[in-house]
Parts: sequence; structure tokens; C-alpha cells
Amino acid sequence: MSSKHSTQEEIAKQFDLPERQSKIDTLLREPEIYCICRSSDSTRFMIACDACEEWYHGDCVNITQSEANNIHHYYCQWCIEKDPSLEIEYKKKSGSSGQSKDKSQKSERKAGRPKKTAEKSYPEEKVEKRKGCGSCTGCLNRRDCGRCENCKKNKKKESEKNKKTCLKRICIESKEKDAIQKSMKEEASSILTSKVVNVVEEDDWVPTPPPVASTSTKKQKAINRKSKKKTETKTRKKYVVKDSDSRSSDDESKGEEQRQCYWYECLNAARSGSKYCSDECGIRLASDRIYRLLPGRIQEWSLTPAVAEEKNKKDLEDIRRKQLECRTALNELENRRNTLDAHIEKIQQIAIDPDADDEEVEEEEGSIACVTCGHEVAVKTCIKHMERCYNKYESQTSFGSGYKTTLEGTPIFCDFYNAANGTYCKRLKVLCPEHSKELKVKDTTICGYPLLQNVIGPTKAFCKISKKRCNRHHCWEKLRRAEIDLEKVRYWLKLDELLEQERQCKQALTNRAGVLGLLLHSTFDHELREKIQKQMAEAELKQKLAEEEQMKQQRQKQHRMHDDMNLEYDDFEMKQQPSKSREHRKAHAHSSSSSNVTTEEMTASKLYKRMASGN
Amino acid sequence: MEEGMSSTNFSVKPKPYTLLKTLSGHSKAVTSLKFSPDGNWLASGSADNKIRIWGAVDGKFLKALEGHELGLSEVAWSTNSERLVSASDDKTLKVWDVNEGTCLETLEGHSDFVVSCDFDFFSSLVVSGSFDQTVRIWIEDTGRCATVLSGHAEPVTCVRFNHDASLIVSSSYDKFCRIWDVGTGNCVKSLFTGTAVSFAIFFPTGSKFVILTTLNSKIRVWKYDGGNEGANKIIRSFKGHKNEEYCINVALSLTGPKQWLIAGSEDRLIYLWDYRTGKIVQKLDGHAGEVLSIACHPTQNVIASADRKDNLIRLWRSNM
Repeated sequence: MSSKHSTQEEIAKQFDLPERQSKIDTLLREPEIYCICRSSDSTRFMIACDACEEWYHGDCVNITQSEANNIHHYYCQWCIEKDPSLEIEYKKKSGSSGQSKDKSQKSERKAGRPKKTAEKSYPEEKVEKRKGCGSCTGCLNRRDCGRCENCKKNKKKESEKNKKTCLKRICIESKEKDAIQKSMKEEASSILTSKVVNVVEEDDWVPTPPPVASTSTKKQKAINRKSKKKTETKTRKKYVVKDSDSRSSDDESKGEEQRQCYWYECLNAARSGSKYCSDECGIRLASDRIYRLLPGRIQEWSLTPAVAEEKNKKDLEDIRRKQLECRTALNELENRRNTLDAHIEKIQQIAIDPDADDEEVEEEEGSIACVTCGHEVAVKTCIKHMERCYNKYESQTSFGSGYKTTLEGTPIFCDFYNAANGTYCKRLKVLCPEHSKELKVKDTTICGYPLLQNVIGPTKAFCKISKKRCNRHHCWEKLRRAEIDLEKVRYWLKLDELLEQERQCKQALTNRAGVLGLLLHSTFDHELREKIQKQMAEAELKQKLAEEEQMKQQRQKQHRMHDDMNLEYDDFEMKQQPSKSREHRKAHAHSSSSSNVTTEEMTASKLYKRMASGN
Repeated sequence: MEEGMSSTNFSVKPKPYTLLKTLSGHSKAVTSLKFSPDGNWLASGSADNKIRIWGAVDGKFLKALEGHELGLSEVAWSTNSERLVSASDDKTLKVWDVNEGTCLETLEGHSDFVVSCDFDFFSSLVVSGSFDQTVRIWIEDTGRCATVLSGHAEPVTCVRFNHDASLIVSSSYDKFCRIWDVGTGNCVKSLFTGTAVSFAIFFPTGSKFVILTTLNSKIRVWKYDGGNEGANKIIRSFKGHKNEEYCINVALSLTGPKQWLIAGSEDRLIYLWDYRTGKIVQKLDGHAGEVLSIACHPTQNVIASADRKDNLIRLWRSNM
């Protein structure tokens, strides 16, 4: 076994060539990433830096392909930053032939693309100069089909000279244009030869099928717009001139032919580039269309409730409720602020009790590292130190925006105008270390911090140590004010968001079921139609039933009349016959709609028979 | 006979879909229909260069998004139902903000018609497939192309993310259906079918299935299973319809008591199969041309369908 392995290894070593190794490496390598954007996209134009050998996309480093053709040596901006002696060298126009060759080769290498062997490379296409519109199916075909006649002929030919374009790649627009030009030439020649001139009166409108006519004029216009050659516009004018002179039935191949104004009652010719002869006709047609279609569409729309509309309305209510909540919260915060201010004022008026000072102070030993500067600070004075330290560092930076705050009420933001940047300071006014000075504290004012019971519960007592000396409650009123302001800012932001949502909702509500939308679209509801049909069918049935009942009632009346007549006759007969039958008959006569028609008919026939027999 | 009544072809317990609404308004054929994930809207992309947004259940027109220069092949919603991405024949994709109705980004880079697009679950990536045989992954925020996945030898017809955006499935006319890894860009699985593959999606939940349609009138379920090599096989086939020319998409309806597979067909009917058994449950009649696109509502039993000839969208509903 081992011998086999060794021989195998020996065999493998024979193929261990450096080229093969590099090939293996490239195959195993991950797809290369390039440029500052670190993507593997190498289909765009790229340029390589001579210093760092990195490939950059042209549009990532703002170098166009044409600029790159002029560059001799390219250095990326980062290499230039590192080494200012590097400079992008451009080609000189005048140079010896030998040098120019080198330069062109180098520039080609630079402006080329990195080779990739791992991935399949996208087949690069020859840049062919083809005239064409660029947007028809012919122009969009990128490759020759290989199957049509021209492609087969091209295969046989080796020279590039007389190769014909693949049939599927001929631009459709130019095909039509050529066809038009040919037909025009033919017509011109025919007009010259023929002597018959068609006099067309306005009543003799040959109804040209609108789509064909319109497309040809549209394409003409498209061609004219894209190619700004004067010759084409001249030929177009020629068409117009010829048209007015001669009118034949062969309308389709012409450039600008005349047709009738689109408004029903108008017999004038439509003006060029339009379906109508004048503005009034257009407006008349538009208003007629609206009167005809819009009411039906509105009715269709209102048949079923729009789900989105309901949702929007509900959302709007929601938003309004939330806005109200925000505003009440803001009011509450204002109240808190006011109570705080009142408290502070009250305290300022109280003088220090010099005796009570020393008892309340509880000293703590130890030192702690300051959060901002990192120095060791005694715990006694740490809060003061940290506060001052923080302010010192913060005041060195600016924090602002270009706009002044436009809020009503007490100013929240500092809004100090910084002339250097042109910005307004956007820190909280009560807290801004840059633009507010610390007020001088009198010796007599006490600290006044409302003491808490068990950390949370507020008491009526407050700290009575002199403000200057109090180590625990340094700057407490500033921080309290800042808390309140911060909450206010939060609520203002929330209000902003809600306003934005409200605006969106309102916009959606107003834009729904616009005239254009209704005219262009229609939603046919099959379920509803079935329901309505059922209802109509039921209604019809009801009508029929009602009619039948009316008929019944009429007959009943007739029978009653006959009955009354018969009763007189029967009175004579009753003397002889038993009373039952009479009552029976009466019962029949008096019973109303519940009685059967058949029984009534039978009794009537019986009555008629009796009458007949009686007579 | 009223149009739209479903033909009675019940083999299992019937789920009678009936025609609910007909939406008109497009001026050319509708190529793609998608319901928004929140169930409120239906987006329809069409050959008339516009996307129209309709209410999902009441079918009322909301707005039209304009901006493309040539017809659209596909539209896709983002998960929060606020964005749409559309793939068009003008070689670009556009990302739209639906509420405002404006185009946020235009993604350029393809060199031929873009026929398929999809958002990932986190709505940060867009994947697109094009006739230039590549699949591109774009970063939605910047609009830049992150990777180009090449490997297909014929136009790519459909691309989709899976549920956690780690894989992409792509189908192509070169008879391959490939699965790519999003992070590395490598092709991790391939399935060779005998005919051109026109559509492929991942099964919506985490299970490792791909549903693909091939242009020999078959819909197949491919179990690709990350682990074993032997598990690379077709486990089920759905037949009965006709699909040999057009790229007709397929939808899964998971809202009813059973799972249905719904596909349009070139014989103007919409076929519903029971996903478990593979039998045809219902055929919906009413379209005038080949039914090209189908969409299923995410929560309700509503199907939207559009065909090639008349420019109408039909909504069908079932009362189960």
C-alpha cells in the first residue's frame, strides 16, 4: 500500500508545476472584491492605481473612461494622501513613436478590467454603431439570431464590408420610415403622370382607422424628435404640402394625413398633432364624457363601502386621540415646572439656620474616579467635580442646527446663534454648558432639595444646608428643570410624528375616488349584482302575487254581486229548501281571501246553474 | 348562463370559489398580481408601464404608480406593505413608496429585460433576474448592486428569497433550477429538469421544498434538503393544466382548511389542486385568454387572476 502511495505521490509531484498551482489558487480563491465599495462587480469601467495595485470603479473615484484614456500613471487619492510626491500623470500629445506605443499599452492595461477565471465572465459585446430608436424589439435584440437569411449569408462572407444586418435586429422605426419614403416617391411619380385630381369635399370623409393613423404620426414624431436632422423635417413638410394637394384613398402610408375632429358633431379637420379641430371641441367631448360616465361610476363606487376609507377614518380618530393625550401631558409638565419654580422661590426666601448645619452632614470616606476626566476624586466633593468637569468638556463642542426653534411657550432650546457655523445651539437651555453661566450663589441661600423618604417617597422636609456647602444636592434645580424639559421634547417629537401621520391619512382620504380614477377604472361587483337580481326577481314575484290578489278581489266582488242577486232569487227557493245550504253559501260569500278560487268558482258555477235552473 | 359560475368538477369536498369582482382600468395586459402582506392591497403590474393598487377585498382603485418606460414583468411587496419593487423591460427596477406614490430608487445595472424581482423578509435586499442570464442582489437603502450571480446559460425567469433570506432560488430557460447562498454568492444546489423552467418559489415555511413549473405542463415539488445528497429529488407532480409557452406563476393558498395549489393555464381556466393529494379540486372558468398570473390573499380565501387578452383582473372568493 505504501508503495502505491509513494508512486502516486511521485506522479502527482510531476504535475506540481507553478502554473498549475496558480491555477488551483485562482479556482479556490473567493471571488475578488475591488474598489472602495468592496464589491465584486467588475462589469463597470475600472481603473488601477499604480501605487497600491487596487482596482477602482470609475464612478467611485470620479474618473470617466475618456479621462482615463489620457492618463499615463494613475494614483488613487489615498496613496496621494500618504505620499504627496505622487501625482497623476497625463499623456503628452507630442511624443516619440516608441514612447507613445508604451503609453498606449499601459493605458489599455489600466483602463481595462481585472481578469477573473473563477466565475464565468459575461460575454463582452462589440460596440456596434447602429442607427436606431433604441426602444423597439429590433433595437433591443443584442445578438444576431443566426437563423435568418442575412445571418446565414453573413456566415459565408468573411469580409466585414458587405455584411447585412440580422433581420431581427433591424430597427422597426427606420423600417417604417423607409417604407413611407418609398411610397411617397412612388406617389410623387404617379401624381406627375396622372392628370386626375381628386377634389374631396368635406362631406366625403374617408374614415381612416384611427389607431393606424395615429401610430404612424406618432412614430413620425418620434423619429423627428430623436434625429435632429434638418432633412427629415424638410421631408415632413413636403408630405404636408403634397397632402393638401392630392388626396388619394391610400392614406395609410402617408406621413401627416388629415382626419376628422373627434367630437361627434364636428365636421372640421383635426388640427395637426391633435384629435380635435379646436379647444372648444375638445372641451365639449370631455364634458360629454364626464356627464355620461361619471354619475354611473360614482354610483358604482358608493354601492359598497371602501374598506380603505373606513380604515383611514378610524386611523384619523386614533391619531387625534393620541394628539390630545400628548397635549394634556405637556400641560401637566408645565404645571410641574411651575410648582418647581414656586418651590425654589420659597426656599430662597428662607434664611439659613446656622446651628442646624453641622448635624445633618454625613461624611463619606473614600475616593472615586471621575467619569469624564478619569482622575481620582474624593467622594465628598465628587458630584461637584464631575458636574464641573462635564461642563468643561461639553462646552468645547458645539451642538446645533441651522434652524431656530419655533415653539410657543417657554423656550426649551438654547438657540444661541453661533456665527462661525451659522447654527443655533440645540442643547436644553437650562443645561447648556457653553452658553449659560452659573449663577452666583449667595451665602445665605439654602440648598432646598426636597428630601425623600426611602429614596422614593417625597416628604415636606428639604435640605437645609447652605447651598455652597451642600455636597449631595449640587445643581439639583437645574437637573430637575432639565428633566421636565426633556420630557417636553419627547412629547413634542411624538406630536410631530402624529401630525405627519394625520397628514398622510388626510391626503389618502382626499385623493380617493378622484375624477380621473373613477373615469379610468371600474370595479364590477358580481356578488352584488346577483343579490340585486335576486331582489328584483323577488320583487317581481311579489308584484305578480299582488296582481293575482287584485284579480281575486275583483272576482270576489263580482261574485258577491251575483250572490246578492241570487239571494233574492233564493229567498223564494229558501222557503222550500233547508237553510243550511243558504248559510253555506253565505259563509262562502263572506269569506275573503283565505277561500280557494276553485271553491268559489264552483259555488259560482253552482249558483249560475241554479239561476239557470231556477229560470 | 352567467359568466363566472364555477364548473362543477368536485372530487373532494368542494371549495366553491365564485367570481367576486372584476377590476378594469389597465390599458394593456396585466402581467403580475401580488397581494400585500398586510392583506389590504392588491398591486397589479402591467404592460402599460404602470402599477395600479386596488383594495384587496372591495376591489376599489386606489392609485397608479408611473415611471417606467416599458412594460413591467413583476412586482413584489416589502414585508411592511409600504414598499414595492417592480421589474421592467426597460432594464431597471424601481422601488416605490406606496403611501406617497413616488419612486424611491431606480436600480440600474442589468443589460436586458428584468423579468423577476423579490424583496427579502427584512426588506433590505432586492433580488432580480433578467434576460441577460444573471441574477443580481441589490442593497435597497443605497440602490447599489451587491452581487452578480452568473451561472445560467439562458434567460433567468424567476428569482425568490426563502423565508429567512439566506437562500435564493432561480429558474431559467436553460432547464436548470438553482439555489444560491446569499452570503457567499455560490450556487449550492442545482436541479436539472428536462425542459425550461419557468417559475420557482420556496415553500413559504421553513421546510426545504421548492415548487417549480416547467414548460411541459407540469408543476413539481423539489425537496432539496441541505444535508443528504440523495435527497435531491422530486417528490410530487401536479398535472392537468396546460403550460407550454408562457411563464405562468403559481400560488399557494394556506388560508383555508386545506392547502391548495393554484395555477393559471393556457386553456383559460384556473386550476386548483389539493396540495397533499395532488388531485384537481376545482377549475375556475371566466377568463377570455390564457391566465398568466395568480395571487392568493394572505389571510382570506380570495384569489386574484389576470389573463393575457382582456385587461381585467378578477377576484374570486370562497365562503369556507
